[in-house]
Amino acid sequence: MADALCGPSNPLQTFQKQTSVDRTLQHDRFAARQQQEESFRSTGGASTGVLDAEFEAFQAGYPLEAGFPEPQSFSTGLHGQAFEPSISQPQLPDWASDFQNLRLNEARASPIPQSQFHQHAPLQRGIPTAWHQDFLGQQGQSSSYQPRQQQRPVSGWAYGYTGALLSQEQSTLSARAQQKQPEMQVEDGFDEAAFEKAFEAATAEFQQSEKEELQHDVAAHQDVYAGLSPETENWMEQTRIGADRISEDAQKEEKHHDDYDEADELARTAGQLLENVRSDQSQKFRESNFLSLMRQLRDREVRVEGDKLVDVRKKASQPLHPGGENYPNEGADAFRQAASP
Amino acid sequence: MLEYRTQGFNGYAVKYSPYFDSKIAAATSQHYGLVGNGRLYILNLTPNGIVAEKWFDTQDSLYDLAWSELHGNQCVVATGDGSVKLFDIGLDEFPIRSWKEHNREVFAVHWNLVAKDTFCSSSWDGTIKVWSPTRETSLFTLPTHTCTYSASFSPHHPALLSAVSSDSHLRLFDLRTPPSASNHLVLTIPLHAARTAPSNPTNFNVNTPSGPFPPNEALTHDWNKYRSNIVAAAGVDRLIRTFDIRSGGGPLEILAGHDYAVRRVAWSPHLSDTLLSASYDMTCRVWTDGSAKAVPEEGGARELGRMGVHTEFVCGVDWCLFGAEGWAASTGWDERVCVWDVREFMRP
Repeated sequence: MADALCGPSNPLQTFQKQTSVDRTLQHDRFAARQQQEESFRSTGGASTGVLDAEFEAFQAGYPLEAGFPEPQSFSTGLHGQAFEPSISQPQLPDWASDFQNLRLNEARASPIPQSQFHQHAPLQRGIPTAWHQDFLGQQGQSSSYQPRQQQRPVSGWAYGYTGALLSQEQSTLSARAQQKQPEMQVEDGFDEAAFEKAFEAATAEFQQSEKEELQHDVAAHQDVYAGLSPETENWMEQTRIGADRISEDAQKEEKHHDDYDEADELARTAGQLLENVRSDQSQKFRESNFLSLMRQLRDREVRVEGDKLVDVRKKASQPLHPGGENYPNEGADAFRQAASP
Repeated sequence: MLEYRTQGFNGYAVKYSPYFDSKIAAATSQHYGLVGNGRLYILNLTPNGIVAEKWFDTQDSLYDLAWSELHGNQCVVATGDGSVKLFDIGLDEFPIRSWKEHNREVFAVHWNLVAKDTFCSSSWDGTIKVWSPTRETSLFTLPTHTCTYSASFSPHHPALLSAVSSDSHLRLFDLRTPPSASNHLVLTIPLHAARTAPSNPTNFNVNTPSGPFPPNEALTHDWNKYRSNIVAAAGVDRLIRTFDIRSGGGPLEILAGHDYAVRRVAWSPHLSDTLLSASYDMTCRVWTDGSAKAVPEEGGARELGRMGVHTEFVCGVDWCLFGAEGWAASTGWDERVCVWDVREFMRP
């Protein structure tokens, strides 16, 4: 048992791993269908003893772990809902079935720690096998399948079956089983596309709803402004100033422009800034590194390249430091304590 | 005066730690915030001057910072790429949390001083967002539809949040109001409105302009730490104005004197009438709004002194909460963090 879970595996074993921990809706549906027919119990004679053992365990108050198929559902033929009484295994809500109908080959983390498989190996052994057999019987394809205890070399067909099965309605068979099993990755591949598709669809839907929400928001804001005082309305109408004149669209457009246009814009801005401080002839402003950088930007002696300011005149791609070569080195100044003026 | 050189990085904001009297954080950017990286400096005031305890580099420019009021080792920064990052100075290199919700540059972050469990950020994308340091997404968003340079919680009430923006308005949000289409907006004050006549005409300084003015971009504002209804705001038109949020009308006082845009204002934590400002004219100035003077003849709102050590635009200034009143820190594009005693620069 343990090696079947942990060790290298063949496709049939893989399939059995899936079925042995299958607690999906499909499981429920399948069992519910059994009501018109013979009870599973009648065909699963081999498992009866184990069921008794499990019943004993149950009576003794031994916790029934998640992932165990509950045998009482098989024997009593209850409704599908009865399959999910375990606390650690909440009832799948409707959305879950919808989700599963997307035929996603999802990999979900198992709630069952690996250790539990060993711990409860005697209990675990028979039940899934019995169910597995029953399942195969129901499908009328039991011929090539064997109970787990008698594992045989498996044909490629079995592998193919697993794949085909997953792409069919029974895809949910694997939904809960694909946990931490590297060998399962092989099978994941073919459903990846479907998964991607579903994901994209969901994203698109989300964006759509978000958009609507946004429009709703905007409408709401407009209501607010409608409800505010005339004074407040004035500022809505007033011409935009300063940073507000730079619209988001303009910014986006700017990004599509080539570097030359951007440099143009920067040079123009720098020129305007310098024009504003032209009248200021104070020493500080004359010696300002920032303003000298603005002059360089205006005169195209410096331009922005990615994250750096590059001195065009030097033809070298080195970051320009304000102050140029005469910049004081760090050691002399870094921890200077200047006297108070 | 103490000084620290933030080599290669131009200062945008400086804040004293609310937990340690000797700790200062400075938010700085390469190339004046035009392009390049940002750096958050954690500086210690020691007998040997200012020593950098550590710094954190960021991908984009840093424009503002706020110390956590919950945790003495944490501070949050506003970055140019729209993200808000929380750093723990006990750790190295990386932020412990980063929120990327703003679409444009984030210009301001401010911690809630009363509730202490939230902080706000404001951005060029026209929104203010309120965050909890423990949550992965913002708690809610307040739209302003205009480039919002400054947002701040009231130091008197945990649910009052104010902001000033490019459209020349001060907005007041009351988070106690039920969620509705108004998005908690309860008051909008036009900053460019004409000055209201004071109740005491003898205190009216006729030398200051009284408006009305053309609309101008507001860059900064601050709540008075003693008078819960007084807010000072300033911006591109070089004037600092004080407002009473109860009246919702024009400015109470107008403080004229700066030669260029005012980048930051900060009310004193010790004196109810004293205000510090930092400006693109490369000075920091200390002002009184005249409210503390019992005798009107002593003069109303006026400049008390100026500090002209900085040689580039001054962008950040903050008062020290501890020790003798009057200590302040400032930072600017001259790559310097200066710690100085305001009283030394006050005119007799």
